[in-house]
Amino acid sequence: MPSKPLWILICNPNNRRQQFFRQALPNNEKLLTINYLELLSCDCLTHFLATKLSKYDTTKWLVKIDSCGESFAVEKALLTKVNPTFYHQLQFDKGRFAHLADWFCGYQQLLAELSNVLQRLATQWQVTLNYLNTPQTIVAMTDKLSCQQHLANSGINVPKLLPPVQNFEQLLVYMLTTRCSQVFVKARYGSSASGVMALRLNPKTKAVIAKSSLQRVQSGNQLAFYNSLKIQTYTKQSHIKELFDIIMAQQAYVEHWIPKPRLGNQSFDLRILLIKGKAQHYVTRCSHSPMTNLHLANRRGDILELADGAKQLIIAKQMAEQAAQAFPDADCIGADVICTKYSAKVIELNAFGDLLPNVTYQGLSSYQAQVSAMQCY
Amino acid sequence: MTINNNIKRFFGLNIEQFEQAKGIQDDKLALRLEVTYDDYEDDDLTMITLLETFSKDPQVGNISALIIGAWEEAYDNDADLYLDFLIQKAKLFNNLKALFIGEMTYEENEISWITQGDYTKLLNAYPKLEHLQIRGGDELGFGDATTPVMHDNLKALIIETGGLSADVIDAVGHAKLPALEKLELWLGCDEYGWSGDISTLTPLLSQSRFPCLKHLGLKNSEIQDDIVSAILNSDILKQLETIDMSMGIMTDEGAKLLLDSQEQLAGKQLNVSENYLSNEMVAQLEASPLDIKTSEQKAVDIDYGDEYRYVSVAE
Repeated sequence: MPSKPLWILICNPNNRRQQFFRQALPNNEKLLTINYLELLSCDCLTHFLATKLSKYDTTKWLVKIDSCGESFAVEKALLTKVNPTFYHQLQFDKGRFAHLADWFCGYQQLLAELSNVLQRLATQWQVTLNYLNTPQTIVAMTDKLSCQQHLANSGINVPKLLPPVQNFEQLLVYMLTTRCSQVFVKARYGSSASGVMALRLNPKTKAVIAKSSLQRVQSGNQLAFYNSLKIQTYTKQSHIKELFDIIMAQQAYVEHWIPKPRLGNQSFDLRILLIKGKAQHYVTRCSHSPMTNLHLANRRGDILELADGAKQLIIAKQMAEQAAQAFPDADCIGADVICTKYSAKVIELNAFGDLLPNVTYQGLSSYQAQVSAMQCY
Repeated sequence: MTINNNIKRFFGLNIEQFEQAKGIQDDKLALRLEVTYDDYEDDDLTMITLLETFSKDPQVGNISALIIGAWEEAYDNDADLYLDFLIQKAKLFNNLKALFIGEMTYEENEISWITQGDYTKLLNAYPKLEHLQIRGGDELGFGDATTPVMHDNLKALIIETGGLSADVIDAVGHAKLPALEKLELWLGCDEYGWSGDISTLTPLLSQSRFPCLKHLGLKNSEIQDDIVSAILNSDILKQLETIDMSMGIMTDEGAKLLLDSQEQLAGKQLNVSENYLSNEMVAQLEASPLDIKTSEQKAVDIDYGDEYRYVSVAE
């Protein structure tokens, strides 16, 4: 009789994501939870994982790598991996928008190491190794710029990307000469609405207006930006330039800001969950601001309230499924999609886009659906 | 606060979005024309082409209410092109009673960036028009003292802006609109075009200028307190049934004047929502015999010890 598979969840243990996954797993299944912090603090990753995994007699590993977010200790450990001297002294500074590029670098390294070690052990012990999302595909989606480029190259409808700009003045010139009046400046490695600026330029008056969840905080000569739950409006060009510079310093890209459709008195987009490439759960995210990410205390609506909502949803799901095909090694993707009049555009893919509490598809929660998909590996 | 939603009804009618391919489906509804981002970017559609197609529809002569929503590059392309078109083709729209130009939301354009046009001649071309609604104050023309707008049937004039210039307000004051029952002006703030003071508004508050006026809205204003006082001291107050002073910077001082004038305000519907009234003042207003809407009072923004108050719709 073949042995039961071992489920391996790599996560931050205090995160509710971990509980949801655990709850979705049938009672008699074996689950090994590995904390990011353990991975980052062990002396030898191979030794650490070999010790942990050797306790389980199995021929199949089912691995889910979950988000490492919402933990300062993990963030600091990832940064320290990249630049020990610089980040050794890092203090917790709630919401501070900083060091995203280094964070990504550390995360990418960690996932590469993890992937190598697991692969080696699996080969050595003749275990089949299956990922919900492979480490490579997680990295590919976490780099939002290359993700969007990859989608565009695969023929997916995405907001038009602007060519790289060196500074704010260059961006304004580009917007003026190409008659592009509104753009999003997005941090390449940002998550949710963090590090996003919605920018408008009036080509006639040259006035600029920006909205962002980043709040400008100046104390003495020190200037910093912090993530905030409230969307800030900036109308001073000097402040907007500072904001642009600080996002650019973390690496950023610029894309056309497509007006979002409306539902009731708010604009909305869709988060569509793709399990094994198939559109399943969805959430209609409504907002009074251009940023619709749920953590900004926005409301859930339902696209089906619209007269042609059912049709729009089908189109959006098809577009999301096409996008998923561009990432064949990802079996769990959260796609953010906006519906346009006759079409849909993919604004972002999220490797950890499965946190959709209280939404079911064919009777299954988003976590039950992924567990059921993994059972077929 | 910004304008986030498109209107759901116009001139008492449900709204049909006009689509080129389908033509007018129901000529009893208000028709809405709009050029979306995709229409323009991907299909090169422009508002003037859409208007032309619309004007050729066999049912266009039955349409009573028309809404022009977002048009391409509305921050630069002014509305004159469409106004001129409507003037030239006035015979085709011979049943038109209500017109809204610039019905766009924040996602589509900043209200202060909507480039408007000159309405002086439009009204001459549409003698049956009863309702004119304009969003955006930039480059807005409405005649002046020497060439005032004249119209015998216009019942409602609504100008929504993040900043309305004193020139336009003067022009509205000089307009000969004997049938006008509803006047609503969103005055806005000086950063986005408001250039008046209370003396700009007082001439409007005259019985002889607007003998039929019943519904007055002077709102979204930085000088909302002064407006309360000016309305209370005007001779037009007696004939008003509703007074909208919402969305501005009204403080307890202005609201106190309302409390002190309850007899004069008896039987009138007042709206002071979205201002800066204290909880105590809201409670007093609610407890008073006044028929008054007080919802959604705004909180003062405090930044490094400085207090900031804003009109609801500005940029």
